[in-house]
Amino acid sequence: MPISLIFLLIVLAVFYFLYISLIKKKNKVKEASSGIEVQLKKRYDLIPNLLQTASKFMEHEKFLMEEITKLRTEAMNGSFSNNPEQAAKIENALSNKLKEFNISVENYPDLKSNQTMVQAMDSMKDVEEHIAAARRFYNAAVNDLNNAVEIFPSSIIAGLLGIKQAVFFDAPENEKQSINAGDFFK
Amino acid sequence: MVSSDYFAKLRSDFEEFYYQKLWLKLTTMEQDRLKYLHRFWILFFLMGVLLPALIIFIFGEWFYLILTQGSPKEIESLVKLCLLGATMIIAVIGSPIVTYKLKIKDSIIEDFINYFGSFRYSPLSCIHDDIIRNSLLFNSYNRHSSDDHFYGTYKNVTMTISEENLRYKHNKGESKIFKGIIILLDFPKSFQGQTVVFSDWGIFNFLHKIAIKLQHISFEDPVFEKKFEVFSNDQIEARFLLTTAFMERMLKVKKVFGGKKIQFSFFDNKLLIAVSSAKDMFEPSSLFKSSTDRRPINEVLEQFISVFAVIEFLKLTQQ
Repeated sequence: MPISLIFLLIVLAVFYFLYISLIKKKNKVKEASSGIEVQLKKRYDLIPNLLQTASKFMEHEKFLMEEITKLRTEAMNGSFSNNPEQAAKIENALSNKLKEFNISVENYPDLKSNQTMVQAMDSMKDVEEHIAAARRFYNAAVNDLNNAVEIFPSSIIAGLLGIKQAVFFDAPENEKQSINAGDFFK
Repeated sequence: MVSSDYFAKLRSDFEEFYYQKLWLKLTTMEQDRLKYLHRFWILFFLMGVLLPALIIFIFGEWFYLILTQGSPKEIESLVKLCLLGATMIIAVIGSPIVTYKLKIKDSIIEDFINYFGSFRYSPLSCIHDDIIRNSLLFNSYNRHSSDDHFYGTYKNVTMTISEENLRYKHNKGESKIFKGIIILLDFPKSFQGQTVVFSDWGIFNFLHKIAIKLQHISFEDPVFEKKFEVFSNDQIEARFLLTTAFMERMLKVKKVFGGKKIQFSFFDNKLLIAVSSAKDMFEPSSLFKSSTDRRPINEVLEQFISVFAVIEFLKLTQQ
């Protein structure tokens, strides 16, 4: 067999393996996105129950609850898989509002001890943990794909196939901020 | 040695507990110990000295003839017979040691562990094979024995602590699969899939991948990745169980146990923790030392502290 043919076969094999690896990474990102969507759906389903229970007690927080409802509708109209950047922005805003809501609940002892509310808050906590886990999986998959898209030689194949870098799902700003102990002693 | 204020206090308070709960029982056991020691030396003289001498006196010439003029098959049969005889003699001579060991454990070990929580000691129980196999940590064993088995609660967490020995018997003998402590408890979070955390085997990590039919999970923490290999059937659930905080705690446990191999399996809403140890654990006294000798007692105290340190470091007592 002529050397040039062997060389061509090797090049084709390398190309094929890089192609497989890239497609796998791309599909992993898709799998991770749908994982996030499943968890976000659980959150959307829980919010009405949470707000309904709270509305009987938290009359002074109506504005906050309206904002949460608005963000939930906005988030449900979008899709994480189609536009992760925009969806992440809305989801992070929703996460921040839900955290504000949790803090507000502390001011209503009757609500805090309400059994339906306790259960709803526990479910929400569980869902938030699952969302955080799904986000870690998604970001790991995105990191793998982005490395492959950027690094030679798979970057050439990615360019030929039109595979682009994916967007990370960053944690909400207040989750990233480090705690300043001094703030608590002011 | 585990160092933290909590365990330092446990150690300092142990003195009082020792004199209140254990000392009297151990002192009473001293009479039994001397009785078993006497029995041991009699058996040692009869079975270990007199019987072999008698056998050699009667059959020595015959043995000599087989060894010098016998066929290889005859020599092999003689060697096998001698080995069988020696094993039986050792078992008989060692019987007072075993009986004393069981008796002293029966007498004090339950009180001992109840210094930490509320436990029942059942020497004849072991962790069921189905549970061990379902953990996917150890599949290739066909011999299973257990030495000590405790079931109860520590700070409201129900758990089983068991000293287990798993082996694989093949044509050429037995291979050790696992020897050490298994801790089995209900995990505070509810989950459906399975996640297995092996110790890192370096270049031999591919063996885990061959043995286990779960997806390999890569984590963002490079230190954790260096120490452990994680497999799961659910990428998201694995990260739900192994949060960054929990991973840090697992690394701390690994550090506390030094070179000892520690592995975890999350399945059926349970967490199984396996800590390898070549040592025979939870032995509070030896036939050849006074029953009130503090060295073995202190050693058992440290062993129990190490077990509960795993629970404390992983913060499994916090729901």
